[in-house]
Amino acid sequence: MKKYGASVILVVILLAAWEIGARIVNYPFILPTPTGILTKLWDLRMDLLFKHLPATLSIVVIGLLISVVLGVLLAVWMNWSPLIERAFYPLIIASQMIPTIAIAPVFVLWFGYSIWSKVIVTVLITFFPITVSTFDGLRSTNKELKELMLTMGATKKDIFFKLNIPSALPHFYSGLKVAVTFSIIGAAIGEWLGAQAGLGYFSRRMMTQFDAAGVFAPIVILSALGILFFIIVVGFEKRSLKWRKTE
Amino acid sequence: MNKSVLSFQNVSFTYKNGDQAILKSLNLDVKEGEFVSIVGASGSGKSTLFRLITGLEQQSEGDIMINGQSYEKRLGKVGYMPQQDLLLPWRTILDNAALPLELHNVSKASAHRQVSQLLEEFGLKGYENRFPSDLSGGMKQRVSFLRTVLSGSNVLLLDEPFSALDAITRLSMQEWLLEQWQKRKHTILFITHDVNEALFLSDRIFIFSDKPVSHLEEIQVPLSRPRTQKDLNQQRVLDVKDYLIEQLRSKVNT
Amino acid sequence: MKKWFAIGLSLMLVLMLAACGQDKENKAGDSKKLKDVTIMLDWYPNAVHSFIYAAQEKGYFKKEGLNVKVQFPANPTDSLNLAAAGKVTLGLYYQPDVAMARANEDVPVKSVGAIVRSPLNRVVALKDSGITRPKDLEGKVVGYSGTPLSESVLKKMVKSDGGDPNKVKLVDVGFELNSSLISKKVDAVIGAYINHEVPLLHKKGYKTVDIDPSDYGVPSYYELVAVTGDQTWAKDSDTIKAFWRAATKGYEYTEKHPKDSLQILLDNQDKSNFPLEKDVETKSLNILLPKMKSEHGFGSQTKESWQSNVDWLKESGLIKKKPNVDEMFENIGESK
Repeated sequence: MKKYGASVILVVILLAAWEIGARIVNYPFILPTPTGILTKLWDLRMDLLFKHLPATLSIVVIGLLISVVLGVLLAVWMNWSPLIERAFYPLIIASQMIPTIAIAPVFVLWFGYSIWSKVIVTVLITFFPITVSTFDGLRSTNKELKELMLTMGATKKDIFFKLNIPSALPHFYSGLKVAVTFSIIGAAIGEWLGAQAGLGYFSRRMMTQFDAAGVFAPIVILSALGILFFIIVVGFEKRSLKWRKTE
Repeated sequence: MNKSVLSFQNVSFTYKNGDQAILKSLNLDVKEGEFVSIVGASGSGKSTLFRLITGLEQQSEGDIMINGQSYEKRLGKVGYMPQQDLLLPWRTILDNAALPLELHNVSKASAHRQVSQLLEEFGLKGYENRFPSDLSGGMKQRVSFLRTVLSGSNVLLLDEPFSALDAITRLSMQEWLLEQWQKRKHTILFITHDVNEALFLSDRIFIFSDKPVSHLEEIQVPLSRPRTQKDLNQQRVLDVKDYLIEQLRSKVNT
Repeated sequence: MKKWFAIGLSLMLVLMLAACGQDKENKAGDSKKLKDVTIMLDWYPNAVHSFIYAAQEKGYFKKEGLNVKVQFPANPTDSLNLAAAGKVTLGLYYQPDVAMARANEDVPVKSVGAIVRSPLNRVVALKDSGITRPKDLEGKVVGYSGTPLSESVLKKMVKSDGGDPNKVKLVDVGFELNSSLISKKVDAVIGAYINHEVPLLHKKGYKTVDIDPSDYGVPSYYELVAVTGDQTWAKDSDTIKAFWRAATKGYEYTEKHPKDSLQILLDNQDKSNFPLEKDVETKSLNILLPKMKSEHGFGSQTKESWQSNVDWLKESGLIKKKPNVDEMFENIGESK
C-alpha cells in the first residue's frame, strides 16, 4: 500500500483544491463540490447501486465479451491474409471517426431500444484497441524464432498456436486494458439511446434537472467501475505473463 | 561408421532477390560421427550453408542428401542450434527443451520424462520450472543444446553457439560439448570465428573462400583425442593456425 | 456527460471568441459607444426567434445603444446555466423548467419576459393509430426525451382523462421524436411541438392527432421565456429593459411584416445544425404569433401563471419545496 501513497496524497490535494474552487465560484448547479457529490451519492445509493449500476454493468460485460471475440478474430484473420488486412484496416480506422450522435439513429433502427442498440455502441468503441493491439502482437512474432521452429519441423498450425499467440499475448493485454475503460464510456454513451435505467442515463437525466452533483455522482461510480475492471485485467495479465521480467 | 550423413552434390544457390550466386556447383561430404568446423569471413556464405541443410532454403541446382536420402522438404530432419539461444521466453526450461518432441507429436508426459532424464547431465537440475530470464548465458546455451539434441536427428548444426559467452564460460562449454559429442556420437557441424575453438573441437575444418563458393578448402586437425587446451600449443597445430588465419585474412582483403 | 460538458464549455468559448471577432453590425466608431449584450437561444434559430433577428436587422438594438450577439447552445441546458452564471446576459428557456431549477437547485435566474405564452408541447400520434385522447394511451408505448417533467405531464393527462398512467409505457428516444413515431417504434410521442414536429410530419405526408396538455389538467404555462441571472439583473437591469424595448419593436415588426421578418430569420439560420424549411417556418410563425401576443404588453408575465405552475409542480412531486414566486420573475414587459 505504501507505493500508492503518492497517488493518494495527490488525489487528496486535487479534491481539496476542487472543493475550495467550487465554493468560491459558487455555481453549484454547474460545478458541484466533492462533498456535494458524496452527499448525493449517499442519498441516491439505493437507486444508483441496485437499479442503475446493474443496467450499465450488463451492457459493459456483454459489450466487452463481444468486442474481445470480434477483435481477436479480426486480428487473426487480418494477420492470416494480407488481402483482408488491406481491405479491413482502413474500414476499422474509419469506424472510429463516426460520431456516435450520427450513427445512433441507425443502430436504433436495427435494434430498437433493446439492450442491443446500447451494446453495439459499446462494441463499436471497444473492439478497436483490441483489434489493433492483437494484430500488432501477432505481427511482432520474432522471425528468428519462427525459422528455428521451422527447422524443428513445425507446421503452420504449430507456429500459430505455439509462437504467434504467445507472442501476441502481451500486446493483447495492453489493448484489453484500454478496451475495458472504453467499454464503460461506450455503455454510458449507448444509454443515451432509449435507456430506462443506467448510470449514463441517470447522469443525463440529472443534467436536465440542473442537479450537477447528481450528474457527477453516477460518474464517480462509473470511474470506480473502470478502475476495478482495469485492476482485474492487470491481475489476469500478471498471471498469464508471469515469465515477464519487468523493471 | 564411415557412411555419409551429409552430402552436397553440385549444389548451386542464389537468394531470391540476390544478384550474385552464393554457392556454385559445390560438393562436400561429411561422414558419420565427425566433428566438422566451418570458418570463414562474415558474409562468406556459412549461414547460407546451414539454411540450405536445415531446409529453410532450397537449392537452385544439385542434390543435398541427409543420411543418404534426398528430401523434398528437409525441415525437421537435422538439429539446429542458433547463435542466440532463442528460447521461448514464455516457456519453462522443461517446456523449451521439450519443444522438438512436442512438434513431433510426442505426448507431453513422455516429452517431460525424456527431458527430465537429461537435465542433470546438462547441469540444469532444479531449473526445470524456471524461465529463460532466470538463467545465465551459459545455462541458456545448454538448454538450447539439449533442445537440439532432442530433435532426434543424428546431424546437429551449431551456429557459433558460444560466441556470445565470456571467455572462461566458453572454454568450459567447449569441454562439455566434446563430452556430450563423444557420449552421443552425433555428427556435428560447427560454425565459428574462433580459430582456436575450431582447432580444439574438430576433426576437420572447412574454410569458406570467396563467393560464389564452388570449392571448400579442407584442413585436417593434426590432433588425436582426448585433447586439452595445452595441445593447441604444439608446433604442428600452430602452423595450421597460422595457415588458417592467413587464409581468413586474405579472404577478407580480396 | 463529462464529454458534453467539456464540449459545451469549449464551444461556448470558441463562439464567444468568434463573435468578438466579427462585428458585422457596427462600424468602427460606433462599437465604442454600444453596450455588449449576449443572448443565448434555447436551440438553433427558428421562427420563434424572428423578433430578435428583426430587431437586430432593423437597428432597434443599436438605437437602444446595444450591440447584441446571438449565441446557440451546445447543450440544451446551457442557456439557463450560463445566464445564471452571468456568462451570458440573457437566455431563453421554458417556464416549468425555470421554476424547477430555482426551487430544487437554487439556480439564480429570473424570468424577464414571456415570449410564447402557452404550451407548444403536444402528445402526438399518427392518425391511423386510433389514439384520440390520453386514456387511449393505456397499453401503448409513448416516446419522450427522458425528462421527469414529460413523465409528470403525461401522468397528469392520462389521470385527468380517467385512465391509469401505470398502464402507459414510456420510452426515452432522445431527440428522435418524429423518426420513432414514423418507424412505429412508439405509438405516440410527448414533447413534440405543434409548430415544429407536427408540421414536419404533415409535410412528409403523415396525418396526425395532437393532444394539448392544458386540455387535460396541466395548467397552461409559458413555453418560452427570457431569463437573466440574479446578479446580472442587480447590476444591469437598465440594459435588460433597453433590450426588451428593442425586442418588443422587433416583435411588432414581425407581427406587421411576417414575410420580411421570416426572411431575415432564414438568412440567420444555422444550416449545418438545424436547417430550416421556408414552408414549415411560415406555418410555425403563423402558429406562434397569436401565442406571443398580449394585451398587457409583449413579454408581460402574471404572478398567477407562476403560482399555478409552482403549485402543480409541487403536487406532482417535481419540486420539493415551494419557492418564493415573486423572486422568480421581473415583469418588465408590462406596458404602463
